[in-house]
Amino acid sequence: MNHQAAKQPSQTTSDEAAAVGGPASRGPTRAIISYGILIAIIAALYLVPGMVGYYQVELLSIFVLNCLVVASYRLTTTTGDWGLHHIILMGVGGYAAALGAIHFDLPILVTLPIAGVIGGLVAYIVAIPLTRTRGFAFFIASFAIGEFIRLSWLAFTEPFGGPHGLSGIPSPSIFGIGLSDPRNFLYFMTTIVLLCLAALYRIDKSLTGSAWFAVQKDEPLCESVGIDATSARRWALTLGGFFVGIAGGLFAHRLGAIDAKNFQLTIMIYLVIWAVVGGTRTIWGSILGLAVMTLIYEGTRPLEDWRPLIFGGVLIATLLLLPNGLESQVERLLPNLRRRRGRP
Amino acid sequence: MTDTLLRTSSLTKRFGGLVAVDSVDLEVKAGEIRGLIGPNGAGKTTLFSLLSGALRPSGGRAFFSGTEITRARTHQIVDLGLVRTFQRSAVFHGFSVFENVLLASFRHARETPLGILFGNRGRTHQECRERVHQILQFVGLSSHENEPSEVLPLGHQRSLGLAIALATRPTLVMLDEPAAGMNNAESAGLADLITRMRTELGTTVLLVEHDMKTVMDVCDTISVIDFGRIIAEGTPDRIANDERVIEAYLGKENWEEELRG
Ligand SMILES: Nc1ncnc2c1ncn2[C@@H]1O[C@H](COP(=O)(O)OP(=O)(O)O)[C@@H](O)[C@H]1O
Ligand SMILES: [Mg+2]
Repeated sequence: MNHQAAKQPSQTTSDEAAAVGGPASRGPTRAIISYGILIAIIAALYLVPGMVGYYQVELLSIFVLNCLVVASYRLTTTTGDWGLHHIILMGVGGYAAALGAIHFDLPILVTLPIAGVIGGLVAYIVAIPLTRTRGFAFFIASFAIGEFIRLSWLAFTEPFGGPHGLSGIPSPSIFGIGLSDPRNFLYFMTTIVLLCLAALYRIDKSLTGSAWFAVQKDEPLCESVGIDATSARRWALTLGGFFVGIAGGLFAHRLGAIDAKNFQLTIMIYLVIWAVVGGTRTIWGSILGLAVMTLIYEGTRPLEDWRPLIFGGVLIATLLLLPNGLESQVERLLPNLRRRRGRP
Repeated sequence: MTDTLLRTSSLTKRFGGLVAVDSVDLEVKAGEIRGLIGPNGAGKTTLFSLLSGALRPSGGRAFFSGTEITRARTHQIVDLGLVRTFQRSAVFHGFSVFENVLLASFRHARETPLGILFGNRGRTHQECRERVHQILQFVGLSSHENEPSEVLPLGHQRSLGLAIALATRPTLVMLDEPAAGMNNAESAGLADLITRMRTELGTTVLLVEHDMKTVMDVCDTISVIDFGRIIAEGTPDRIANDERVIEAYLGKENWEEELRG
């Protein structure tokens, strides 16, 4: 009973608030603005595909999928690990889903969890040696391990199809609704991605998520209060692998084919740029980075040869002018969003 | 008969040619408040780092609650109930005071995957939050719960460091110069706090402190370390008049100056 009474004060802020968020960390304005934006975006994601042509559906599909890719990558960076093998783990999930669908005729609602689990498993295995390194060594070692996996897709015609990859993935359907229509597939994919983002959000708001962030800030202090920093880093990398594995599965099913070129270093570099430009303090920051860079990408179609230069320029400008990414500016526009993690 | 909580035998740490901790045999009993004093560079912090698993010993062994911790990892040692504070101000930047202490209770909150996904915090989590409030009240930071930790005055940051250590529910706390950065009033409060840690929380304390008044006031026994070696051990009265200690502190005048504070 005593316990009940004591619970009252924290419950007013509880539920939505961060696991470690104190009572003063949010005001009603912030909640209204955030929910408003969120609901508008979700509504748009389901309404827009019905109003535009196939080309726009295609662009939107790529964007929605990349949201999951960048948000899962951002999760792995919360402990301070910037790896170059995330896109490879997407491939791992993609190949797993493709093989399951081709050889065992598994439905998409089965191949996606498999893709996630295999992605997470491979992420965990490679995290064991990787978490013995930090910083630059981690960066380079993750690249080497990623290349090893990518080259093995190219080297083994059985089962990975070698340089040609795998094609002829049977077109998916759920509950009798065919997903071969790009618009239907987009609705399906949006749903899966939103569920994954919700899970990522919950992780971020949990005490565990905060502990991962603390590992980035002060590893010795974490250890000294009993947080196993190595295990925290492995878990973050593993869950990142799980979610990007699902993204890989979606990728494979959407195109009906998959090959090693889809997971090259260039794409990984884009991924890093999205995360850096948007900022990695929040999930929304990384997605904002993706959105802005996608707009720049589309806007520079006539200047295709100049793109690496333009992207490089944007990256350098962000690092110099906005070291905490675009999200740090959004917070200035919405004063109530300020505070909590990062700078006061 | 009281139980030995912490024991080292011939614990040694070399940095190249320098022997920072030299064959230290130390025994701390449960319930004791033990002082560890010695001039700057004597090896006190290094000894704490060895015991907390932050540094690997070059030789010798250490035991806590009957378990060997010589090569254990820091978080394993914390799980056994042995925790240290830092000489530097060590708090989680970017988190509020409350969040700092909650993070230190991480192991006790026992978050489950379902709890994380559906926001069902469960009883252990609620109890943890309650405990955080209590600990902050204990160290006198209740009114600063929601302030960002990095803007706190230094003295408060030191108290927060102590609160963080207490949140791990230790049986023995190693305090590394907790009064450094505190003003006179704060360090007077600290002496009181350390005694209350024993009486109210049942914590055993190993205290490294330069402020001799605090040490002499609160400790049952004092060990003196110089050039990595334990050179004397005894009650505060005995230590205050020990020839070897006076010599380690460069003569009677210096030593009496230290004692006056
Ligand atoms: N990481 C290190 N590398 C080399 N020498 C060190 C290191 N840490 C401490 N020392 C040396 O070990 C000795 C003991 O230092 P320390 O334990 O910090 O002393 P105290 O805490 O008693 O003032 C000093 O001479 C110091 O210079
Ligand atoms: Mg020291």
